[in-house]
Amino acid sequence: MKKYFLFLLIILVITGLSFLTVPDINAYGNEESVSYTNPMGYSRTKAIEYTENFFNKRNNQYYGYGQDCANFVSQCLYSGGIPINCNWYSYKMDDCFFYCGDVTITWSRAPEQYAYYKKSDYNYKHFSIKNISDIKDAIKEGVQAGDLIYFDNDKDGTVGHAAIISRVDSGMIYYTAHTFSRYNQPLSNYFKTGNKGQIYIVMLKDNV
Amino acid sequence: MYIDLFFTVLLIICASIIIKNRKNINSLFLRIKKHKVWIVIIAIVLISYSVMLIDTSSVMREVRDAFLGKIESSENIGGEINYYNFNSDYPDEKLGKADLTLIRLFTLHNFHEGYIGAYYSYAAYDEAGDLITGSWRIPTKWKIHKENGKWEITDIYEAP
Repeated sequence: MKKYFLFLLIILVITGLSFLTVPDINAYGNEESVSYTNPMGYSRTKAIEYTENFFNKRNNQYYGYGQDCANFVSQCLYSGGIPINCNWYSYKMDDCFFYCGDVTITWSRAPEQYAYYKKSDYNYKHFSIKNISDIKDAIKEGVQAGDLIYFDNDKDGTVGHAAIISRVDSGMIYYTAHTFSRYNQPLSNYFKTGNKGQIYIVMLKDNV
Repeated sequence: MYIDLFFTVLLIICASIIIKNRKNINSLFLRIKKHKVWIVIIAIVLISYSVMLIDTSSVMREVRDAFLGKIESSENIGGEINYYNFNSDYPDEKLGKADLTLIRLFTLHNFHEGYIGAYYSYAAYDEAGDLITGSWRIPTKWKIHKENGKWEITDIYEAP
């Protein structure tokens, strides 16, 4: 009997501790339509600064993934001031006992992140690039550093890779990305390799 | 820095065998004599592969020169070598310094066309020492074709 109570007590303590360490996700609301904005707006400069600091290394404050592209893009956006919400967040806690954080699929996976930002309040415009000559049209559309790029390698509408635009000059768009660390890589290079896919660009609003 | 994985591994294996048997070199030769047929077969395979590698060394040199900005950007340059050409990607920038680690992983061809597998890390800096562009730990595969006695890269397979 004593053993039974001891076992029950341990279970209760464990459950209590796990509640203590779980982040209060519901504080951000649990409705699909809820969105949160930063009154300071999206700072492209800060997002690009983040790419400059972490293009070739992982930030231990976040979870790292074998396929890290979308995670890296999310980190850049968050550094640029786009606030987390119940549909897009990443928590990593250092001093936790059982539950060490939580990451949404929109934060860490490219297809879900693309779908999320396409519908987000921050989406100003989105379009696709099918060949090298489309890049100049994209520049004319007003693409800026800090906008998002998604690669669809099979042209089937399914995104396989995410990156952030880190530089735009008169004739070319350059991107920075993980998992294979790329810094200021010309976008035209995508069409020069065996990739026969297309690229989606999501232009972001500076203020929502 | 350019490393050929095959020759590097071969060198390490030969060196380690010799070092391990340095006190009994005679017995090592005796053992080799014992397996003469196998040794000859292995030697033929290794020499054939070495010929394949040496034959396509020009491709590796060309890629290295493109990375280091030693090839001028031109549409007339044969094949897809412009993909790695600093001057074609950054026409307005002047390359100050470039760090390159290029490792050839394999080569397979029939002296007319074939493939080369490589792995590279690259960083290009301007004259002030600021990083312009870079790619790190990138595996790549090139389709190669021999035209008028000269090897050219005709396709590049690389993740973005």
